[in-house]
Amino acid sequence: MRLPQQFADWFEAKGWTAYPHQLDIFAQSAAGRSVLLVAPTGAGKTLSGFLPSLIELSQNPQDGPQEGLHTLYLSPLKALAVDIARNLETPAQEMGLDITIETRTGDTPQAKRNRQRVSPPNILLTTPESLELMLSWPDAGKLFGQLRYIIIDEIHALVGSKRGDLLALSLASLRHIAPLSQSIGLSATIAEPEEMRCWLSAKIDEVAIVQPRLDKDIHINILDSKAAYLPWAGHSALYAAAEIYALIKEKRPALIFVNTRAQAEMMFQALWRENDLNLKIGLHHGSLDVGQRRRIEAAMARSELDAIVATSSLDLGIDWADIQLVIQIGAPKGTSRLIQRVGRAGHQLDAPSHAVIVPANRFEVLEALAARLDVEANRLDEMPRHAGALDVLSQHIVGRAVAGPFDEDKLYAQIITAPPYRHLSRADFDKVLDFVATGGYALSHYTQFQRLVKGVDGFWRLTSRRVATRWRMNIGTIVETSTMKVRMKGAAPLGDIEEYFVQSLTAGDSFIFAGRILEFVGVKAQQAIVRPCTAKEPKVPAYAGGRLPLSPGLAIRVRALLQDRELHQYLPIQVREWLRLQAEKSTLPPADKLLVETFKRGQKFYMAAYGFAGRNAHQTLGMLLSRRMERQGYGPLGFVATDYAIAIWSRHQVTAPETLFSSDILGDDLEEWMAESTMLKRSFWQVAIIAGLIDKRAPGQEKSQKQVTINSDLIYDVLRTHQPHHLLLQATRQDAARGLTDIHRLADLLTSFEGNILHKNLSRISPLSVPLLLEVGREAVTASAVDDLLSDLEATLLEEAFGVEEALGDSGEKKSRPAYQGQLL
Amino acid sequence: MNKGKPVIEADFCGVPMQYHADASLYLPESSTLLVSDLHLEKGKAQSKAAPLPRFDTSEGIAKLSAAIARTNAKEVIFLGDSFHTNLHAFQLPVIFRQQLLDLAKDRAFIWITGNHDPDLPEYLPGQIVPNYTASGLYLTHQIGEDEAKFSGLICGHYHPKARISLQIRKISGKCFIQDETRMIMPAFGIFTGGLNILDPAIQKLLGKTQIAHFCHAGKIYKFPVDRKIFLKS
Repeated sequence: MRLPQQFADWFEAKGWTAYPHQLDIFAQSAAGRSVLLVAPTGAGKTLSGFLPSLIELSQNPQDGPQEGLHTLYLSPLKALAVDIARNLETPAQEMGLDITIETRTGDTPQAKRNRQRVSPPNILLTTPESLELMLSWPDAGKLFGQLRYIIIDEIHALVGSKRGDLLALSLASLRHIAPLSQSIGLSATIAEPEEMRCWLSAKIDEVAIVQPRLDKDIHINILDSKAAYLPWAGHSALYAAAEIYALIKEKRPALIFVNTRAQAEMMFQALWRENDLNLKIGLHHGSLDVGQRRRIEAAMARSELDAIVATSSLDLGIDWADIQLVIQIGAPKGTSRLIQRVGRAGHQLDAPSHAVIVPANRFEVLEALAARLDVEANRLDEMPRHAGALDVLSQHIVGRAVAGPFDEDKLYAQIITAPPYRHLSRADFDKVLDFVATGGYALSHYTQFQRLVKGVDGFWRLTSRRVATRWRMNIGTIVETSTMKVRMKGAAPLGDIEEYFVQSLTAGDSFIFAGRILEFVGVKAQQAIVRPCTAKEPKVPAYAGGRLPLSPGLAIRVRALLQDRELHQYLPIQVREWLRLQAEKSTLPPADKLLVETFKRGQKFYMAAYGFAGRNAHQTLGMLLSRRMERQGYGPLGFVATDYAIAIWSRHQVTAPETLFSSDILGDDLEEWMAESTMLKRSFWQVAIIAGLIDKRAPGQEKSQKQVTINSDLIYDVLRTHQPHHLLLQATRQDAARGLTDIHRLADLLTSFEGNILHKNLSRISPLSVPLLLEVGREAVTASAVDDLLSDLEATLLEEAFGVEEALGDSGEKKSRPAYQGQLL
Repeated sequence: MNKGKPVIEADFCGVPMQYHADASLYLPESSTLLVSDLHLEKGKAQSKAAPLPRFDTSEGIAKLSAAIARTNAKEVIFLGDSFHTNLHAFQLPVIFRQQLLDLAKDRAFIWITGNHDPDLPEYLPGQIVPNYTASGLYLTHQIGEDEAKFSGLICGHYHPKARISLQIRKISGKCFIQDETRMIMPAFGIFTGGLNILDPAIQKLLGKTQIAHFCHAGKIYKFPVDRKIFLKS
């Protein structure tokens, strides 16, 4: 298939040849098929996606304003939509195409948005949330009726998330009113492209997969640190700052990826301390002010920077052709993510990508090597699979009613064409519909709380316009923790930090943010006022979430690596020595058994289990084990969980760990824990907001997060007691299965090792457990430990205040000084 | 091992008291149970904004009934704001009215009015009063201008609660707060927020030496009010 002359000429004028996959997409879509393009960054993906639509528009020039949209482009990032629009205008102009290209996001001015509704552009670039909103307009049918192409960019980043669920539902509605449309999906390299075809059309046989064989060389090295001491624990990799700086000097510009915003701030400070050449090093993360982020990105695009320290905020985004080196600080956590990040270097297809992994501690060295071997063997992580979230479905159903009265049978038929909801039963759908309509309370027959009502004609409609207003204000699936703007007096804001971090500050405290050391002055009008300072040991803001758990695929490889002595030669000497000692004093964790070590230190008995199931699943395991141990009288005091293992300590010795690690722990213990887990209450809060039970924003008032949290905690408790099968609790459990509590993965761990425990009772701490115990200090504490601490505090303070007699109070018990010190090492 | 307890016994103004972790106060000598700020029907009153569940009233009455059963009190005194609004007090569903009547069968109920429920309905069992005196203590909902100098006073209204920083995490809970002669009780209700005990609104009512009884996870702990352990927010 040949390109039309106009396009062929343009390629030639540029001195380019169209890639075969670009021609292929054109041919497939000209034949009426939807297409999934799977290619690494730098393969000219974006242009490929727009080619069919640009060609069609060039051949059917339209006079005057169009009736409706021709092409809709969806991107997970607002900024990406804006950048792509800019990049698309250039070829369109150069080819002399008379087409209109516009963006529409939450930032688009109201006047422009109104105009777009009346007179839409040919090509509209937008986000999933804006699409859902547009679909609720009564005139959506007219707007999308002539739509030819739906381009979904970075589709892999949406699949498996609640945002993806919402997008899938929107697409199902959109395809219903846009019968002429074909879809083009653009995705980074993924393990099973076939699985993703269903996102592009309800008829998956008609979806073509275009996956160019690109032999792009990827060179990944692991920093062979000359540092005398490779840290046992921690995630900041500051020990290697000088060596990282040397790498940047050699190959720049460089992209330095870290895993969390706190690490980004710390690494940025550390690099500037090394910066004797005055290289231009920038900082980029999601909490920085948007304006500042755009300035950094623009400076990078103009090649004015030597390096950027960034979090996943730069994982997706516009291509920068001349990145010479990607440095991954800390463990990569997943192979696909590593490839995506590495792909940002040597962005032209024929140029090799250079990357260096800098492990922050000894376990991360193992993970880095495993990831490197995976990338070389091209083994990718599997896409997360999950059933569509019910809270998102609730939101969508309200949206359908905002668009106009609907028939429940037809809506159900439409919803099950959305991939995440393909297995949604009619009973579950009815339950969601009932929740949306009445709140789903068994006890309630109060009509004034209903959102939807079924008319005599059999159609469901809104009970009032207020419901529509509330829905519009609260659309979307991203529920953020409440933040505060940080600013210096009279200056533009630096960005946002989490409210609870601000609450922990007192005037005069210093902290690192936006690459500076700041002194906290106070809170004024809901903004944190700061001034520059030069403190030696500033605090680092804490951020909720952020840390991704180790991917299951990579976890398997790390286990395998431990057993494969051949490969140990690639490890630094300190790590080799560490593993050798472990093999000698205890044993290396085998692939087919769960290694559990027990030993005594000081007055406490420790138990370490190497599950390699990721931090979230281990955290949950810790909670459940400590409950069980408490009941069995071991007196657990606390535990610590990492991606690789968990350690739990108690007053009494565990002699038969087999009895603790059984999968029935997921029964009553789990139920009991769910009743009080703050993590689940937080999940419930998010679910309640997404499902529209609680408003993030209500007309005329903004609830503070604290207010909303208190409300939702109470509702959670009350619902659990009175209506344990309520839809929102069902949705919360669904969230708990993956996400923060990762119960699904924990279940896998427990069932696969049931009755298959390798118990080593040791006389002293094992080498492998050292990094684990060094994490102590950030540990979770058992309920009885909180009681102990409070009682100790009570005794101490009363003694100080009133003397011993009063402190003993009526109980007459002899009280000792606090024994618990919080820190163990 | 020293462990927290569900009850602390101590004298207040010479009267023996039991501070219970469920935010109730029991005077064993006169067999009097004190509860404050139940805010019954708050869920229903607030559900105009969002469809909140209305289980809070049954939950609140169940909690009250547990406190009565535990102490077998002869007299129950409500320190005001027993209902979230007057209107909802008048509209209380019959099932809940009956539960209150049943609870009052073998004991005296005394309802002190509060700012949320200045006009309590007639169907309530027992007396309805603006304030009350028991065991020589003056009981009222909110300390008025002319009552500021009273000693031997117990009130509600402020929903005191506290936040404490332990080495490893911060916890918060309802809190009784008192000086030598005045005490503010925490809210007994289910859907009730609270005001930090360090808030000026509470602090201006109390003298220098203060004691807090802090409720957390079914246990109660006694602390001198020391700004070093209590957090402002």
